[in-house]
Amino acid sequence: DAAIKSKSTRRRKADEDDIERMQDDKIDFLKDQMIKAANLDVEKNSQGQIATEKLKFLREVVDILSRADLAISILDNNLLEAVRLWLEPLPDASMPAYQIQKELIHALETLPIKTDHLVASGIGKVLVFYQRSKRTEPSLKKIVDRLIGDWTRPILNKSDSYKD
Amino acid sequence: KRGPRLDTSKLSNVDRESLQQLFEVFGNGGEYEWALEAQDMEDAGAGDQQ
Repeated sequence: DAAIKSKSTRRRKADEDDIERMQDDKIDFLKDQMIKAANLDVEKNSQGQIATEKLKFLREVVDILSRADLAISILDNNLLEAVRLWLEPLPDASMPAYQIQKELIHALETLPIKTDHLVASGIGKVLVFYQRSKRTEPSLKKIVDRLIGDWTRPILNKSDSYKD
Repeated sequence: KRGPRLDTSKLSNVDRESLQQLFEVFGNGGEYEWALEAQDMEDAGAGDQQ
């Protein structure tokens, strides 16, 4: 009995590892695609053309970002770095399409983002840009303010906890 | 456009670490300054034309 149990436990662990690896590969692939699309849009915008590459597969990106079972893989593989690239202003200082801003910023609300993920991705820096830009839609700005507050708190709490 | 410089001389080491982490997470405000300035100039220009 013990041998069968141990074998099935090992098998389950191997299955879990396989699933994890598949999820990581999926996120890595998506990240590459996202970076390529962001770079193409930067290039198009520099040439005075309309940047549409990111919009073309926004749906796919949002579908992945909203999957709770992929959240850990999304964060561990720093997909947020690609999200930052998608949210960055274009070379002519214009914002990405509103749909992109809205969908991605909403998606950020659903992820269990920790300080390490923020440092690695630089996503906090681009949200400060949205907080400061006069062009940010007021409803979106509220979410941005809230996210920045949520991300600031654990850093300040760490400092406060030493004073108690 | 930058604000006044922060006096960090009275901060404890823990405060300093937190401040450093805040900079790492949110930057120093200069990362996208070029875009904010360009937007302001463009918007001011558009306002003048109206």
